[in-house]
Amino acid sequence: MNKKYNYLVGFLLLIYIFCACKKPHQKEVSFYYWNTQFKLDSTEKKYLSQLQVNNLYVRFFDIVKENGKIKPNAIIQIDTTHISENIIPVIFIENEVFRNTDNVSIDDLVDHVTKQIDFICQHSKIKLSNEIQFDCDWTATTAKSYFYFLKKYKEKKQQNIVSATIRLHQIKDKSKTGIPNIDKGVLMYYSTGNPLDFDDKNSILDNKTAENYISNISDYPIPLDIALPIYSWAIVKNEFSETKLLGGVQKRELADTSFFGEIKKDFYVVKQSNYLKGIYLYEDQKIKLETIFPKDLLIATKNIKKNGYKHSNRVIFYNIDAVNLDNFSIEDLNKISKSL
Amino acid sequence: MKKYIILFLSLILANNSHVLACSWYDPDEDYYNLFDQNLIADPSLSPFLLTYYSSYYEKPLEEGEVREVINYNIEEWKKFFDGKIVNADLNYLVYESTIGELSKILATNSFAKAPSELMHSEFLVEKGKAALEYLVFAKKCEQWATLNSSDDWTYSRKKMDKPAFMATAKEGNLLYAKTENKELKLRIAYQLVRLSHYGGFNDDAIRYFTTYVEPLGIKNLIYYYALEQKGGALFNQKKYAEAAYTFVKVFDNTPDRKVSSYNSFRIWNQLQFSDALKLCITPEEKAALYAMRGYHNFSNGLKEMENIYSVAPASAKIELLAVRELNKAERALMELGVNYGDTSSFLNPKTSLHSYLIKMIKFSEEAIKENKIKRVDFWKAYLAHLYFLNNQYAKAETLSKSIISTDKALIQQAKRTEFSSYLAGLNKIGIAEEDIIFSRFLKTTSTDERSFIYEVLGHKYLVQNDLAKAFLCHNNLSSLYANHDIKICNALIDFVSKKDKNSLENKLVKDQLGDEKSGSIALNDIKGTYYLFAGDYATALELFKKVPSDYSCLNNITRYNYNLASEETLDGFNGYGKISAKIFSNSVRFYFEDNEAKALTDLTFKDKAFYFITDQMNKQQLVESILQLQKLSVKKDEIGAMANYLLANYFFNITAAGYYRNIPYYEQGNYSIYSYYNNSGSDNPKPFEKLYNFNGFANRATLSFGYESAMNLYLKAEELSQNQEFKARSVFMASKCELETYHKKNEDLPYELSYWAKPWQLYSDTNRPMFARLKRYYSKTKFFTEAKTNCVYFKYYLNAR
Repeated sequence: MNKKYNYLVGFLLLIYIFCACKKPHQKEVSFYYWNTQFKLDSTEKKYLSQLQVNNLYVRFFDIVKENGKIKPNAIIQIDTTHISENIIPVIFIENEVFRNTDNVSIDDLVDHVTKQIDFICQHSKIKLSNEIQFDCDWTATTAKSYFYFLKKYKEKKQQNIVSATIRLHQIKDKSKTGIPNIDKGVLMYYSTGNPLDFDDKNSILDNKTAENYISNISDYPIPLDIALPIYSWAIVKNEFSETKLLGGVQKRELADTSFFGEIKKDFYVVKQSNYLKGIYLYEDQKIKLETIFPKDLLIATKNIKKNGYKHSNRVIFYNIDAVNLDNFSIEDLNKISKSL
Repeated sequence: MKKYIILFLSLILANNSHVLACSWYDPDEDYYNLFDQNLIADPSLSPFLLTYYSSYYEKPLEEGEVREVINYNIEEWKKFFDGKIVNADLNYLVYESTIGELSKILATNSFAKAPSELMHSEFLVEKGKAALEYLVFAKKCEQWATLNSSDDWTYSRKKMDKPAFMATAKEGNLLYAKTENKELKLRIAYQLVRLSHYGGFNDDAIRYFTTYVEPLGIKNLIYYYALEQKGGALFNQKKYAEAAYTFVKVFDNTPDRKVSSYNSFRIWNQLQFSDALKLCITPEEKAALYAMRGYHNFSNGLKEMENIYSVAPASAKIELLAVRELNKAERALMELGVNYGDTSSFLNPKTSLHSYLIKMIKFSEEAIKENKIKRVDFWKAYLAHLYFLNNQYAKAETLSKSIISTDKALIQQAKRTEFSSYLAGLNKIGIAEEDIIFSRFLKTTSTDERSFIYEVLGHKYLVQNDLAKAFLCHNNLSSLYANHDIKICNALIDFVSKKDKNSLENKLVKDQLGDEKSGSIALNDIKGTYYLFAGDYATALELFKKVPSDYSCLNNITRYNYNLASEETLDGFNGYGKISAKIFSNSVRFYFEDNEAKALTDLTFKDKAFYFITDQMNKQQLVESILQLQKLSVKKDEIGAMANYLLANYFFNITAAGYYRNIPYYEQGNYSIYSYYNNSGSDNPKPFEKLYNFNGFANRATLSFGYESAMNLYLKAEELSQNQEFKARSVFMASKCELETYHKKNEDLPYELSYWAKPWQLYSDTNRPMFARLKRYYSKTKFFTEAKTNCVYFKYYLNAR
């Protein structure tokens, strides 16, 4: 055994001892809240309190581009008078907003966003966290404008921490899509496929596909929280092979065999026309149900760790909604967050 | 009053974009539309015709056509003033005038300093004065109705509180009591219902409707405007069935509130729908309820057509749903650009669509048979088109021919369906058929139909191996620039020289080639170019001799020069001539945006032994130079070495990595052809015999030049020469070929294995043996230092050792 090798063994041993002495890293659990009307029901409140959630990521509004005009959409209405959690505003920005948009328009946008967030906070009397998050599926062509937006927003010093969502492709192709200059990111560990493809893969999270995207996750130069999916939805296909997404559909809603027939696992046919989630479905239309279960997320966390993920503090589940919580007990969510 | 906002529907949902990838395209342009949706009987339903481009359909305007927009509210005012005031002035009165202007007229009973639009004696009599008083009140209400709706950011919006509401409502109550004219009373009541609704005072809105609107007993446009506001209030109170029924009535009784009432219409479950249906009194109301459910793009329109047919078979709403379903079928069956898929779905319905078409056909046949529908001719034209889409061409033709109508648009439709079926049903395109097709070209005005004819005709020609005509259905010769297909070239040359062409053939020549003479020159150039890049220089030379020496087929283009930060005109390669002698040059490193002088610095080609290389060459001169160089390259001396080296430069320069990579593709600049090299299918495109037709042929770039010839010639040059500097340069150039070969071989590797993730692969011993050779044998040369300075990889290579 040569000398060099001896040193290496000694060094590794030291690291091992150091790590073993440390307490297991305590991850903070958080959720996204994505509805237009903010109102927590008793189940949701129970989850928040028992999982000791201090910070809640709440979508405040979207920013979209319509006929060339940049404007807000689906601005949140906050009905609750008392919210005990700190609220972290999340602003979803359509990628289109940054396509061919000049800096003057972006400066204006920063101004609007700041004022709109202030307005919502003042009217709803909520406790704001010192973080804000932007959510944009930016691409190589829009990176420059989006990053300029982030820079300008940061300069306003409204919050101490500016974070942003990072999609799987943005991790994998970071040399092409670029890395935003933010305080931290959240890796959205979901949306691995196109739901409208209506194929056998789960488009919310296919663990094999997702793992292909994160082999270089350890190189990512900004700290990353992890967002994991707990949502489900149904995809309906009509006579013209057009497809449509129905959010929040659970298996039990398709259990009535007079209305729905199961063709194979997760695939159904409408036997009798009826409403599902407010959409009228017609006889013979096909449905694919996509659901995520705790076991899927345990595989996900294992894969994330295996690929050298340097953990930061938070696991954020997308998204808190009584319907989604059907498949996840408090214990499940605790176990998943600890497994990371 | 001009801008309304829909406050009563908090239906805007946070979308799914957070978890979806998105893309943008215009889906309405992606198919051949042969059945005119505007044939429906009731034009007020036209916003509900099928479109995927925007929420509601708008008939495309012909050039120079102006869209006529009727303002029904102004029409009501016109009636109120017995037609005595022109629309422009009414428009000013209602939408532009200020409270101050109106109050002044009322106070002074005169037009002192009033704008000319308001100078109408009608305003000084009692009825007119009452109208002005109403308008003053309406303008006060307006601020609450529009709530700065032009500004989408809500932080700057005004909010109506209870005291503000009470004050405005009180004024309205007093005015309502004071006003005698019933129509004006109705308008005041409408303002009060709306004010209450927008303020969120839903009970008040409903109360005002019951106590102020209904007792007046007028059911004009304003009544339905007020009813719509009541619907909003009901919706806010979660009385969804009642609200839905209210919107049904507005939808059915107004020409201008159909879209807004549809927008507000929302049913969540079967119970609500059944309740709403029970509330509907007339068959037309029931039909409207079904139509509103069926209008959803995802709905099965046929089911709703059946529902409407069972209660109101003569309803115009069946036609609306019918044309929408047919349009969906056209989109599925006649999509553009489908010919490159594995199997063509053009006019070839999938099983699920086929069975749906059969159901639609059955419905229409029954409807015609039972004769309860309103317009039999429309339904016949409709059915004929369904037969056409379902490949029942003979039936479609017969039925179309049987239609007799005075409706010109309907007859035009029947003719289009008849011809489309005739064409689609043809087994062979011969002279007789070509005559018929040509005469149809002359008759039709529909651009979609013309394109459709080419789509099908191009297919039939291809099937019968009539390559030239198949090609000309969709292409001019520029489609061969990226792909000098020799079979097609030969077919075209034969076709151009064919004597006694018929009208259709002449049309193809005229439209796509200009005339026979210029067509045949261009074809000789393209065919010669094929042989040039296939390496058959003798044949190429023969063909280029038939091309005038000053021939050109590309215009000068301008492009933005990032180095100069300005537009520049490229006066270079013109498709045939103006090929620079630098095609025989090279450099250690260049950028595509560099100009020629900067990009390529080696001047070996200027040696007097190569006197035949002129500064600018046409393709004939290029071939002649190559042939000369080939002769010299067999010599075993320095000239032989240089000849090999110049040929190697030529071969390198026309590869994807070469400065003149544009020349094989007939492109002026060398970076607009990027897409050809990114065409992953370019190595193995689908054989054209298996395509549906030649639509999109120009995108089939098949040329691909390897680096092997260049590499071998560089090494031969090194072997033959005694000059160390020359040898070093040759080896370095060979190393460039080596790098490009490596790139090409590894382009499909996943990121983690690629040179993006592991850049050292680009200068490893295994992948760059030529670097090793350069270091081992030529490290003393001046060129070695030049390479070290200008080639980063080589520098890394040396540093790593």
